[in-house]
Amino acid sequence: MTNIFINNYRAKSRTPQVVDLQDVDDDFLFGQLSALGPAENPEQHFFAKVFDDDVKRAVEELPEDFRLVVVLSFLEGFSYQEIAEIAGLQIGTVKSRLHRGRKLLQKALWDYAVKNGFIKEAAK
Amino acid sequence: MTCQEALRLLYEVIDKEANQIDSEKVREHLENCRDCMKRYEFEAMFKTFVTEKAISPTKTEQLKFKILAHLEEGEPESGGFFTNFFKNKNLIFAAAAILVLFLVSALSISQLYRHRTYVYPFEKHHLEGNPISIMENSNSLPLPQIRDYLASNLHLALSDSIAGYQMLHGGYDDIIGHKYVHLRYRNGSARVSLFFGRSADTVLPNFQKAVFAGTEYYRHVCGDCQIIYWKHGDSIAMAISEDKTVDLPAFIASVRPI
Repeated sequence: MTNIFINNYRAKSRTPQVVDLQDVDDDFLFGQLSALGPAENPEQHFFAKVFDDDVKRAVEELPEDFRLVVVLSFLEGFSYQEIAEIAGLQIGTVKSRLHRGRKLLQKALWDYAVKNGFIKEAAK
Repeated sequence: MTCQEALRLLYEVIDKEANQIDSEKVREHLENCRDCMKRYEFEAMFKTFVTEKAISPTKTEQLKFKILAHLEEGEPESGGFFTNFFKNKNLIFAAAAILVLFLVSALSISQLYRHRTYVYPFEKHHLEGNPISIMENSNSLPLPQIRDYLASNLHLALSDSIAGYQMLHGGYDDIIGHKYVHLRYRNGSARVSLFFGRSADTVLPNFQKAVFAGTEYYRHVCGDCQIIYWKHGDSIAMAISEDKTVDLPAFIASVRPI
């Protein structure tokens, strides 16, 4: 599985991707869930509602650059240093991509939960 | 340490990448700052959540394994023969036993193969030259492609909504060399998976024949899941749900030929 990601990554790494992250705050999901009010544990509720398939899909649909580091870190359990070597990146780049990858994933899962009515987008 | 500094190092602490001095400072800050602590707990939970959900086989995958395991359990009991004969250490019978065993296992392998062919019936050539391109490393296909494929090959029209269930996503799968197209539907927390593949003229053991709204089908309930399959022209369609309360016969009755 790792090899597939690495191969895909190498094949696509020549075309730089433009991802608009302007509108994704650092604490996007946390902020949204907190805004739902003091009702007990909106996070727990959110995590309980989202299906395995949806998480897998959200990971698959991450832009390639971010998906690679997220998969290597979250699913394969590699360290930043190992990811840097596998992907041929600077450690700083691994950190920032992992950071942004997390944000994008949280945004995607939030949008998914809202779209499917698990969560009513209350506070805006 | 300020909140800003603590939050900057948050992911490194969660990923166990921060050096000892930094992680101690962050932990110290977290103990004294409720807001940062909540944020830390959330981000740590998020990581665990994604890891567990994305790594675990999906419910449908688990079901597939269950079905396979089930089919394997349903074989003739050649294992019993084997152990009994060898426990007796009766050499005169041993030769006969081996001969019997050979025949039984040959039979059971062919049986098993037929069962598997039935459940996972799509062969590669069945898809080649069809509107669906065979995608490597991915089993996800755009829904319009699957619809086109089912319409032109199986003369089936599938709508986005069947008996209250919404079409989620679909794909093309390869399990132990057998190919099939699948579609997943969801209604609240209840899920139904549909599989379409090439038919073999076999009847699976432990399936009961029944008729609902003019559709003849075979149904089996194993543990906490139910499976229904039915012939569709020279193809086979199968519906699986992990929820016993789902009315599968009504669901499949709504899967209509064009």
